Amino acid sequence: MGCATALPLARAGMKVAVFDRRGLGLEASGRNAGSLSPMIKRAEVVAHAMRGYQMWMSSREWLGADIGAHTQPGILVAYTDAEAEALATMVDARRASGAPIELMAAATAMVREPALTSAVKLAAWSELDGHGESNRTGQVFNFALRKAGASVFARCEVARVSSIGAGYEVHTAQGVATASRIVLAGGAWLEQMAAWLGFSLPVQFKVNQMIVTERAQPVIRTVLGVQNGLLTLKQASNGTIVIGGGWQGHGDLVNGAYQVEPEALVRNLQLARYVVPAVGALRVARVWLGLEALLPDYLPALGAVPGTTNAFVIGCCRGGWAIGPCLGALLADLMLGREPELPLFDPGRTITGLPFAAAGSQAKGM
Amino acid sequence: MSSRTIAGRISGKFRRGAPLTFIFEDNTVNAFAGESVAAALIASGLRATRDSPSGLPRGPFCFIGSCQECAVRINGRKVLACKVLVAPGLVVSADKVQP
Repeated sequence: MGCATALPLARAGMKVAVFDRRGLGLEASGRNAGSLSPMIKRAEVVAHAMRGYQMWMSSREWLGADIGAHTQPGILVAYTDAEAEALATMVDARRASGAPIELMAAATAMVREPALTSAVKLAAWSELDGHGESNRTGQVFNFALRKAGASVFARCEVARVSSIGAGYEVHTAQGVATASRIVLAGGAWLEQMAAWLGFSLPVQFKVNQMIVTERAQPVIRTVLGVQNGLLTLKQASNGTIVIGGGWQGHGDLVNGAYQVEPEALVRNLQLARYVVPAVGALRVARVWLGLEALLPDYLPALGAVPGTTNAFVIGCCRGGWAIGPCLGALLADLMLGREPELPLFDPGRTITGLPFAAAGSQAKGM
Repeated sequence: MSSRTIAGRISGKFRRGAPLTFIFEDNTVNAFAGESVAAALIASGLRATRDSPSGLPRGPFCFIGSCQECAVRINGRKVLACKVLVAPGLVVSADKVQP
């Protein structure tokens, strides 16, 4: 999200420097499952998600490189009465906020997606879905940022920032930089970063585990999710199948996401096999994890840091990879004195917590 | 069924395990105890052990369990031919793309 903010700023003529503790896009931006599903986003961010979807689909035009995004229909399936009821409620809410999603009878869904063979109770269908190769995020932004004249400092951790006059000093491992404006875009680490400016941002995080199989013949044509949130599954254009569902591995802010939880891995795969039996014939090629930052209301932090001038924050949003380009463009608009076309999300709002799914628990708020 | 010889192996003062045969697709393959399935297949001139997802033939390449190219089916499981030892009567199938 920091890169997505920096790029339009650099193109607008600002002198931009990006500091990254490791390298661009190596944390959540490059470790997520690459889903572009506007239909499952919270109502408040559906418009942003649809904009993000369009931006990733046209990445070659504005980013100068192809992120490998493809349109595929999205399907959400319910297997129990409770899931079916929740799905119907969710579809109503998403439709009201403009998401192109419709309920679909189970029989129809199982014809539209023949990979589903276990008894589906109810489904939701959206033509506006797809996925991209999120692992390339850092690479394509690195290229675009440098081309736009921005300076990129990788392996250059920012220890703190302090305000000086009307601007800021950025204290890094390699020296001190001065800036008239700063943007904090540190994902799961944003609470620590906001504290540099005396601002309290209640960031939580999940340690999401993802799985990719070996290459296979075409198995599934949709981006699939189960209503309870415990399974997402899609087939990339190279034939590999990416399986997720918010299953939790081990990680913390000191070590990052560092260890796969085998039991979660097995249960994720068992669920995948139940929903799409053809997956059972495939071997797992790789498993990985990343820290997904969240605020308790599951909405982004996007705007000025309260109590400061010229300091901004961006991050903490479910489906952040899909929405990120849109949020970055909106924040850049604000910083450039333009009127952002979509609402921002005041980091200083009163954040009332939805029931939070703590690490280790599998409950998800869709 | 065709019978495969022990051609393709080095000769000379080399102590081999007991001779045995196993099945690969329609072939009875001659091998020696202690050889991997992949090595025995290659020695018998059987190079294609699976199809890629696009239907092209693939076979053993690295012989150390890394490249994944020698995947075969044994007892219904997809395993690496280079990491399974031959055994008398072992039945090995190529990992074919389903028609």
